[in-house]
Amino acid sequence: MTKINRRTNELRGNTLPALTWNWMDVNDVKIDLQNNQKIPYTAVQSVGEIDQELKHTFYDLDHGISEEVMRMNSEQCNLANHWRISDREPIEVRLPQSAENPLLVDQNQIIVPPLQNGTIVLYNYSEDDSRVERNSTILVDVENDAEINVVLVQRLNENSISNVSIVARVGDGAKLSLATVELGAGNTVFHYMVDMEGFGAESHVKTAYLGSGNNHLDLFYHVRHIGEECISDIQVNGALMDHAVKKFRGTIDFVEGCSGSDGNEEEFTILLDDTVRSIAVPLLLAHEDDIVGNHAASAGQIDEEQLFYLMSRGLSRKESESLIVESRMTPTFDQIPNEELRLDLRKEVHSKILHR
Amino acid sequence: MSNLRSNLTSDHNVKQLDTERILAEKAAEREALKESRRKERAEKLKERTYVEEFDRGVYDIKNPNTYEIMLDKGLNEEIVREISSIKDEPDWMLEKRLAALEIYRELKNPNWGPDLSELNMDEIATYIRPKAQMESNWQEVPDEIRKTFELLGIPEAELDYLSGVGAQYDSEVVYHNVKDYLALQGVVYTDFESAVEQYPEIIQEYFGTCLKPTLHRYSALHYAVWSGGSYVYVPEGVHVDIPLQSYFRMNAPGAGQFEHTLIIVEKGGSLHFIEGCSAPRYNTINLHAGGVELFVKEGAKLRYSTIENWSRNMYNLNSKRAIVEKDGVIEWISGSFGSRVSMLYPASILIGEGARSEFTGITFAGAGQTLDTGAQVVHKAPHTYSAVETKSISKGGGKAIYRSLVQVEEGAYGCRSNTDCQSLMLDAQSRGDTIPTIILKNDDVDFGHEAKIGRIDDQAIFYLMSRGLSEEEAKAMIVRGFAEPVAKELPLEYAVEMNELINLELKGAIG
Repeated sequence: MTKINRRTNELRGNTLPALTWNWMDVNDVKIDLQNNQKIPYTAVQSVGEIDQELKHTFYDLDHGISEEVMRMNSEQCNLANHWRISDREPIEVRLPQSAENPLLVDQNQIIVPPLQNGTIVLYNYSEDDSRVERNSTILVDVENDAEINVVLVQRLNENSISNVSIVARVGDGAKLSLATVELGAGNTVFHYMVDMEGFGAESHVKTAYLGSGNNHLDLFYHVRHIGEECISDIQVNGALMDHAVKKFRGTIDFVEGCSGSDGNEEEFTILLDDTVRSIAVPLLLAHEDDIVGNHAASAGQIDEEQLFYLMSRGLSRKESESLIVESRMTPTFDQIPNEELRLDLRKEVHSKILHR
Repeated sequence: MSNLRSNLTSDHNVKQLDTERILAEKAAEREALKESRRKERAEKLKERTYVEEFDRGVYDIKNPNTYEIMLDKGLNEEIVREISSIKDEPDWMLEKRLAALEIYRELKNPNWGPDLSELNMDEIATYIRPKAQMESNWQEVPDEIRKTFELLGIPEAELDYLSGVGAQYDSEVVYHNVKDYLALQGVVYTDFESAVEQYPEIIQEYFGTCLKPTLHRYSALHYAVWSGGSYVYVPEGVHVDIPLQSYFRMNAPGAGQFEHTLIIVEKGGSLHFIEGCSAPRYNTINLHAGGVELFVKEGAKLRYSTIENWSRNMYNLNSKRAIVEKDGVIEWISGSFGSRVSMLYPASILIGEGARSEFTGITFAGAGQTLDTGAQVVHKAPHTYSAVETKSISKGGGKAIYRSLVQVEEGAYGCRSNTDCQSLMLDAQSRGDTIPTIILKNDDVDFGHEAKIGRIDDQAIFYLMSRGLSEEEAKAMIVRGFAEPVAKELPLEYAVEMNELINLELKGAIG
């Protein structure tokens, strides 16, 4: 749903599937895309050919962050990838941005044919301090009995903005695992929507984030149980420091007919500084009785006992804090096949917390 | 070389064939599994019979619609002035009403929550005066009205376990009484019109300061046309040991009830206030937009219990708000059973250090009902505590929505908040949503939120049946057990009433 605020004419997106009190400002979020020209992206080459028909089928399911953002994505697209996944080595795509490549507007289609399984990593990062923008759409079609592990890592600098929309469809007995790591960007808008259409389809999401500086993170998930006996879970773990603001808005939607489905969402936030803002809106929408849905959200400072234990072993307070935060992120990091990248991410989290 | 290549292609073909074979096998397996799993699930969910409408007993008894004054349907400045002049109000009150009317005109229906488009203010009479004066002796209350309250058990309850009773019939309070020993200690319990007359300074100081007319459209409407309600004042250090009760009965069809309740519990005082509501069923839409303002001073304690059983033609758009000072305690007990649409989210504003708020609620949505309920807590001071425990049950296509807010402000350090909400759906037509929002603006908080949604646990049913209960009995017992945390917070008589309401509601769903 595109919504343009009439008073300020600003672009808004990531609208909740069930609205609530407007004054809390959680129904949608401001989108900060400024570029309106088509600028080439030269760091990597496109792979394969975009399937236009498939693209439209997916847009019928969901408009990602918003229709307007999708339209900009189509018009300004400067990288288009289409993959058919088969059992082979993980695919890793590095998407650097810098003064030379200030704009990345990528369209990605990930098709996983029946019985295949694979891993794909999209790694977006800043090479310098210049302001860059990203507007990305990722369509994932997991056909019957297939499995895919999608990993997204985002490490843009503080001046930059990141907008990523994932729209996925999961078939009979198929499984989609998504791991996302958000360590950068001044303004992050993330959108994940999955239709679990098949019998026994599964969607597993793990997110790790560290909000620092004046970063603003909007993490939006919409998981729809359509087929019978679908299983889903969303696990979001992260820490906030400095003046960071995080909005977690996750919805598990049990559509009529999804008998025997099981959905879980969990959000855990560690608050490191007095000046952070943590907002959570965990929705459960149920239109089917034969289901089980759970959600849990918690937030607070690091457990004193854990800190005390680590400090009694000779670690400094900040070292201990960092260790505890890293441990919450480990399940997400573990889904990254590239060990070097994993280590890099840990180092970054470590040094950010140590030097705050 | 060519040999090798042909080998490779044939390998490829074999692989292709393999894939197809495996896929076909998998698909066949899955079809068989789907069938068997469907059967299993269908067996679990045995056939049910539904009763669309059922007799709600005493709640449904209608009295002939006789009244002394009934203002024209609709809402305009004239009507507001007329209400004010009928009540012979001071000018400042009329000004407040007119200002609220302006606000009402500017505000729109919310873009979220239940659909309110059917609610047309042109079809609703905002003021109906019954043929009765306010009395403090039940024998003086006109027979017909007295009988209604007798059937609802109010005069009997007053004798047995209440220290004061107020009874409102349509727009006016028809009975108000408080036990002498409390009056001697300075406890004031009266209808709101008398309070405006007798305690103008206090009312002017507090009225509309906790619950503002700008809050939403129906709170503006409330302030424009309010009528009836109660005023309670508990002086410093006085403990009102037995509960006070106000009962609101709406008899007229196509009408609105807009009572205003204002309670002040001074430093160290305590009070348990019970509010009951019901109305007979009509085919026209009725509206209830009451306003409740609670002021809990330092170290004071207030428990506010509501058992709401409006008929299924009622739009219940009620607003309740409490301001709690240092070490004060507000406890909300809320049971929502009736009405066609409810939007009710009692709010606690914790402004003093160590203030506490506890909310316990149950919502039971049956066929044709959309009950959007929940709680709001704003932690504005350090070391404040809040707990929310809610249970929602929906059946027969009913929608039970839990909506909430917990907000911890900057500088409100060392706050603790816990939420636990559970939803139970008794059939596939029903809907149960939870829409909580959590906003934390400092790091020194201990916050937890948990929600569960789903069906009755089969193992629990199986266990009870193995102990000799029938399936229906087992289910009813589980539902009652589910409601237990709310029931146990109520005085015994009300807990019994609530259980009866649940049994009444379950009649249609189970068995």
